[in-house]
Amino acid sequence: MSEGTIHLQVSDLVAGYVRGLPVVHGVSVEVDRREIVTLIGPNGAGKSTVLKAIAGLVSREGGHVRLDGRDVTALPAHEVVSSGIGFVPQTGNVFTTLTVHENLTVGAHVIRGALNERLERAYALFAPLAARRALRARTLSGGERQMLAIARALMTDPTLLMLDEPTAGLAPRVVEEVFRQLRGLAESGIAVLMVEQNAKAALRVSDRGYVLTEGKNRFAGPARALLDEPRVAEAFLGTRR
Amino acid sequence: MSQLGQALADGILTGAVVALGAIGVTFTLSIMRFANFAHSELLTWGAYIALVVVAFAGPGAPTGPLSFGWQLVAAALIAAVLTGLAAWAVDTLVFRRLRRRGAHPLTMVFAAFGAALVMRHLVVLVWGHESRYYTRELQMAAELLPGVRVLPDQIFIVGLALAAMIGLHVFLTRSRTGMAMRAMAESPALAQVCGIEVEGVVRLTWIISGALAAFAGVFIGLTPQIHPEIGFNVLLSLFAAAILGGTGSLPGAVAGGFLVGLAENLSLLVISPGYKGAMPFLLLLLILIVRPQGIFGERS
Repeated sequence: MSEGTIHLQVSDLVAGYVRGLPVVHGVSVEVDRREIVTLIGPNGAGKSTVLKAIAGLVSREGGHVRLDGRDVTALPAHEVVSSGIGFVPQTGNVFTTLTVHENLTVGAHVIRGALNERLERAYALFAPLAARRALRARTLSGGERQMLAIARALMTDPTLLMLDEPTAGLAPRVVEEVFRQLRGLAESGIAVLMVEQNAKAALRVSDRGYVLTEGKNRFAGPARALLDEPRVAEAFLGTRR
Repeated sequence: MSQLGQALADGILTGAVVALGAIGVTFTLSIMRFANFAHSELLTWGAYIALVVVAFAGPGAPTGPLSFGWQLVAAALIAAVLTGLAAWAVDTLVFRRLRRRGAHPLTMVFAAFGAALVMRHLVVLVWGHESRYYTRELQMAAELLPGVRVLPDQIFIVGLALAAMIGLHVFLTRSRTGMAMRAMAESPALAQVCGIEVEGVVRLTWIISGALAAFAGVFIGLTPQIHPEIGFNVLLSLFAAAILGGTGSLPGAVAGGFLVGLAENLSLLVISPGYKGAMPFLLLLLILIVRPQGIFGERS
């Protein structure tokens, strides 16, 4: 890894679900290690699609995705994870028919050799999962599922963790807990990129933010500045001044 | 009483064979997400591939009470490997092309019907319509319980089928590759996010499904004869078993298989054999009304 390179560099990304009909029209995003960056914007702005495109799940028709300077734009989804990107989708982010332990094992699919150390580390980081390791994921509460989804994505030691609406549907107390965990992960050296509906709360824990509308960059800047920017606050944070 | 015992014994034998075939059906339904009506032809291919091996090596001298020797067991194993590869080849030739084009599941089903016709008629082209036998040895039925007679071959078949099912269960629950298969059955997108290569799992699924189908085909052929329709004749039973047990569930396919086998044979005690084939569907209707996701199925 070269010093001075921004960890994740997405430039002029064009992507969508159907080839020829992109919903992301040239978005650029940068995330560095130890940083939490949040994408906000109205429904249909293409926030989730940006994450899915980086993960290789939707077709990328233009632009570049670089991780530590390495071009990962054309990698198929199953190879993206080996390049150091962990992704927590918004829905269906755990295998409900598999046990907690099996979910974590599958999360480490690309890791050869014994997983005991990694599994124990995950249980240490997310203590409630340890007690439920033999249970199927469908029996977990919403907060526990989210924990499992994050723990699963961390099994490969990603350098970039992407989360699509990690707090959707969670109780306020659990939302705080999830954000606290993400802060801790960023401090440990991981680059965190998330999409949040809960924009104000998300920006408060973030270092920087991007506002997307209609598949394009609209505003970008330090999270604090976005929270204070009247045009952002009024249109995207639901606050009036 | 002995009639009931005999029907139960026959039902378990039919059930073991149907279960082996139903496992492949349930895997294709859950992992490839379409109803593969060509699966029955893999049973037929397995039976005929074993016939070719037996033609060269002979069925072997009868071993103990069995009508065949180790050569036939070896032939079944070779047939399992080759049928697994054949299933993968059919996928490469037909289904994968459609998958890549994002074909509708119904298109896949019709393609499967087409593949089934081609596969069945290839067998007819090479071997003709007449029945064939692995072995002409006569064997004595053993009296398992008073009035319940079972051929030693049949006991062997049930044992081997159960061993294959237990082996597969251990593979799916203990090995990382098995877990990846189950993960892929639940959510291909999330499986990819975890770094699982879809095509790799698809290939493995065909090989396992084909291998088990070959065992089922050889077992049907042993009791007592092989003809080009042995697979087709059990096609609907295989689907009934897979759906009865719950799509995607191995224990479900096994339970479904035995229930279908028992329903067919127990019905003979009360109604005319002409209705035997309808029994699995009566059972299927009942289950679908009470528990639409099948016995072991997960509610989605």
